[in-house]
Parts: sequence; C-alpha cells; structure tokens
Amino acid sequence: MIDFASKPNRRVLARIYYGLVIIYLMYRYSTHVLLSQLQIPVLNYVNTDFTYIAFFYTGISTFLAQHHYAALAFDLLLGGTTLAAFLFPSARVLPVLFTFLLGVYEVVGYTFLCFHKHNLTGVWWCSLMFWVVDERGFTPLFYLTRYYCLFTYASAGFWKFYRHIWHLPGHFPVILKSDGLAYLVEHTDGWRTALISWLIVHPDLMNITMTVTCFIQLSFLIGFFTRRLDWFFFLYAIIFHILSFFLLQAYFLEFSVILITLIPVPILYKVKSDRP
Amino acid sequence: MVKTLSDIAKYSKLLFAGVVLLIVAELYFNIRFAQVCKYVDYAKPLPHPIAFESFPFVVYNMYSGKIDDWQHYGYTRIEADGEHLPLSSLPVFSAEQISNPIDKYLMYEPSGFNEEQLRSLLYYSFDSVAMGDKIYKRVSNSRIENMHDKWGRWLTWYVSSLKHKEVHSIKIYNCLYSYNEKGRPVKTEENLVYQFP
Repeated sequence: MIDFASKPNRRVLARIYYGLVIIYLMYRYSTHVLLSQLQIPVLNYVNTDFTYIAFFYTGISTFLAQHHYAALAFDLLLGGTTLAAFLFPSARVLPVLFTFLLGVYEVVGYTFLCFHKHNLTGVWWCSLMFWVVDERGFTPLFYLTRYYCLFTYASAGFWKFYRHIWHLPGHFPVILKSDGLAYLVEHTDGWRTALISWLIVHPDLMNITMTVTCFIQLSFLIGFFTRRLDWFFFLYAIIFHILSFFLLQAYFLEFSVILITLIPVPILYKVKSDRP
Repeated sequence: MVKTLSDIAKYSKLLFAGVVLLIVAELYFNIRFAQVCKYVDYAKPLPHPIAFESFPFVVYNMYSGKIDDWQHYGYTRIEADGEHLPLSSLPVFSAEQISNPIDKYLMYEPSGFNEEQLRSLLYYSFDSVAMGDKIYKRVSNSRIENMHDKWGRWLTWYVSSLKHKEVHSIKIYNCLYSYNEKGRPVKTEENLVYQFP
C-alpha cells in the first residue's frame, strides 16, 4: 500500500495529464470542434461572464473565429504545445504556454458554442500545478489541485442542499425526461432506450438516487481531512460521469482528468516505504 | 490544507499570493451565486444584475435549480435538405455545436437579438449608460445585420462539414412530447420555427 506521505511524481503525472489532453484534442478534432473547424460562426454568447466579454470586446474571439488560417495556426500551436509538454515534461515554459492557450481555446470556443460548459475548466485548473518544475514547489501545488478537485464535487452536492433540491421529489425524473428525450425520440430500440424508459417509470428509484448522489458529493469534503477515501471518490466520480453521459447526454469525461490527483497508486508517487 | 498553503508560502511568497488570490476569487463568485439563488429560488426580482462567473472562476452547480414539470418536454428536430438529422447519433461535441447555437438563436430572435441581461449588467457594472452601450454594441449579437441568413448559411456549412457532403437547406422544428405509461415519448405538437433559405 502506498505511503501517503510520499511525494507525487511530477514527470509521470505530467506525461499522463498531457497524454490525456492529446487524446481529448484528437477527439475534438475528429468531432469538428477545434476553432479552425467551426466554419466561421456568426452567433456568439458572452452571457454575463466578464472574461468572455473582455475577450470579445478586444476582438480576440472574433479574430480567431472569422479568420480560418489564424484559427488553424492557433489549433496547431495548441496541439504542438501539448505534444511538446508531453515529450519534455521538465520544460518550464511549455506548461505556462499550454495553460494560456487552453484558456483562450475554452473562452473562444465556448463563446461560439453558445454555452459556457465547465468540462474544460477542470483541465485548465489542473494545468496550473505543472507550472512549477521542482519537487519542493510541485508537491504542495499537486495537493492544492487535489483540494480543488474535492471542492468541485462537494460544491455540486452543496448547492443541491443549499437550494433544497436534494430531497425534492420529481427533480431527477424531470431532468431525465428533458435531457433523455432526444435520445429516446431518435432511438426507439436498444438497451439505452430501454434503461432510460425503465427509469422514467420508476421515479421513486430516481428520487432515492438523487438524494444518495447529493450526500456522496457532499462527502467529498471528508477528503480535506484524509486521503483514505480517495479510491472511493475516484470510482464514484468516474461512474457518475459515465452514467451522466449515458442517461443525460452530459459529457464531463474531460473534466475528470483532474481525478489523477485522487488515484493513490504507487506509480504516480515517489514512494518512501511500503506499509505492512 | 493549512500545511499545503504553508508549504507554498515557504517555497515562494509570490506563488502563495497568487494562490490566495485564486482562492478568494473562487469563493467570491460562489458567494455571488448564493446571492442570486436567494432571489431566484424565492421568485423575487434581482435588485441589480449579479455576475456569478468569470472564467476560470466558475460555480459547480449543475442541476441544482428547481425545474417545474409541465408534463411537456421540448425536442428540436432538424432537417437538412429534407432529411432528418438525429443529433444524438452524432458525437456529443458535434451535436452540442449545433443544438446550443440553435437554442440561443431561437431564444434571442424574437427580441431582435437584444440581450437585455447583458445590457443591464454592463450599465450597472460600469455605472455609465454611455460606456455600457459602447461595450454592448461591440459584444452583443444585436450588431449583426441580417442574422437570419448569415446564421442559416453558417449552419448549413457546419452541417455540411459533419456530413461530408454539401447541404443547401435547413429546417428547424420545435416539438413537444409527453411520456406514456411505458416511459416512451409521445409527440403532441410540432411547429416549424426556422427555415433557410
């Protein structure tokens, strides 16, 4: 069993992190959502977010969206930086450049997606810890990122308690009926259709699931005091994201890259000693 | 967490200051969101616009808002050159890149693409109508003339790139569904809401 006092191995973690981001970017390329693939979008959505407003006001968003070659250069730079950071995990400049480019991609991309998703936000926050190369600085930043990870899931639970949703009968069934509708209309057969329909006619089960989920999410706060439940948090989060995708078409698997801070396996750490 | 922060402080004062700033900003936006909830959840009007997110400071509040169940659920049906385009059969990112702009287009079209929430936030935040107007004119969709055709052209281009063949026309229908006792959707209404060209 891993010694929890051990230091995280920056080199291995950087390789896993940037490796996963390369896969994400390849998937984004294959699904036509890189900036150069957006076909010069027209409608924007800055909403009431001042970062989005500032980007749009300065012309950055429009420039990248309206000029194909500029967008292509940006996409290549983002992909190239990620690949370089993967190949040279000890380089100092690459992680900073990557964080900057990813932030630009998220803001500009989501301005023209017309929806400010949070799935890349976890990737962005996680990138900050790689800014520091030496072990003495990286170790506390790694644990700080772990706290941020715990905070995000606990926060998801907290707001459901704060807004009295956790025990509200019918809340989850309505979400499933709304978000699962497109799939049910477009796929009249298959196990996923059968599962969603079955859940819809069992609202009590959904209500219990909602309450249990809220408590589990809030329980991530325990992680601020001990690391012994990290495996549980990790597995819960993965299952939660997979089920959200299959039932609600809510895709948050990119966000889950931040869960690397919760995996207590020896390969990610410079283990001092094994426990009996 | 205190030990972690103290380790960072020992390592670099500048890094520590940066970390504290990030934590304070994250908490600030969460508190702003709590303020919004106090009004929205009790159906009270907001006394003034409150911005509760500014990337990278976001609030993880998914599905925490109460949703009234009207027993009717909306589905957007898209036809490209007369052929149904099932979004849930597309990769999730491609589907979202079509469905979200459609939602926003249909939301803003009736008001001539005026974004009142954005305008009032800018007026309030800068405490100046002139400044607010200057920014609003530059960032809102109301500045775009002939949005119907420009947006329709973009949508056909984007759908063409996904289908790997040229698409010439798009129709969008708003459909309403209810559910039967087997948990299967039953269509109750369908209206054409957009057509290009």
